[in-house]
Amino acid sequence: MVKRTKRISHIAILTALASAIYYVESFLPMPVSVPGARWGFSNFPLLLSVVSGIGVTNTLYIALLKTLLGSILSGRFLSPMFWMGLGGSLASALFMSLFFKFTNKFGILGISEIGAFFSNAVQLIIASLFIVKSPHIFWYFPYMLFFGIITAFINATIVNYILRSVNLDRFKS
Amino acid sequence: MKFTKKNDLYLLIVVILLVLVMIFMNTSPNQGIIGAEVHLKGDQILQITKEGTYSVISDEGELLMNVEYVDQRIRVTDSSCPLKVCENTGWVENPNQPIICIPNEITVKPLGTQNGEGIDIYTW
Repeated sequence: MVKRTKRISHIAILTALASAIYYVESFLPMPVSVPGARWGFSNFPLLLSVVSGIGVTNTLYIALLKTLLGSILSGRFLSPMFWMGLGGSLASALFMSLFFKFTNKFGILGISEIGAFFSNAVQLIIASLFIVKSPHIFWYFPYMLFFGIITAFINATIVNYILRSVNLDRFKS
Repeated sequence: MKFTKKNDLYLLIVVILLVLVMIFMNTSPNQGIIGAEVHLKGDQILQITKEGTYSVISDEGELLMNVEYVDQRIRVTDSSCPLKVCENTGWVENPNQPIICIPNEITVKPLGTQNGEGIDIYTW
């Protein structure tokens, strides 16, 4: 019972954080025009959840809920950008968890880079298969990857500072 | 958990090399364009070969965007999408670079000149 309550509070806190950032992020301008791209700062609660070892299922819940809530708040629910964001955050949550669980080779920065890479790749695959239905959108892939590197570094730094001051082990179930 | 490990650096170098290679491939045949194709949800709806301004209209008869083709370059003006990414892309004169509007699901694909059509970067 206590474990279950801890798990629910953990998901709730990180989801609230992520969906608020998802909403505010839509006001931030992008320095270059890349279709469908966002900064992606709302992925740091996902990274925090991954590196504090809370489990794959809980991380996937946070990814799903933050996209649902964030897109309802910003009025993008069921729009093409919503599907791209959903695929991207689920894929990055999954791959970050897998790399964290089965290899012990990457630090927080490396896990964050992996998440950014798969998020960008899956977003473009979804866009090219279901939305614009043309492979030409891959022209924008290197520019998205480049911004992914910068965002991944910022997210990893935020998570590093949080882990220094908050003991997340108590959330482990 | 450590902030960085040695493998993180290798991963970063691999991704940066990938970015540089892809940007180089994107920009390599940089010459003028001879027209453009406009695709709406994957179906071609417009073929532009003459200079001028063209309107892209949805199935419901709503104006989605205007496409302007002048001086071997192309751009999107007056789009109905919220973030205007397609308008901010500006003039395009590289036959490889599409202008894409995600909310309206439109792709504007420039057509290259005859000798530039041998390279297709999308098959990597």
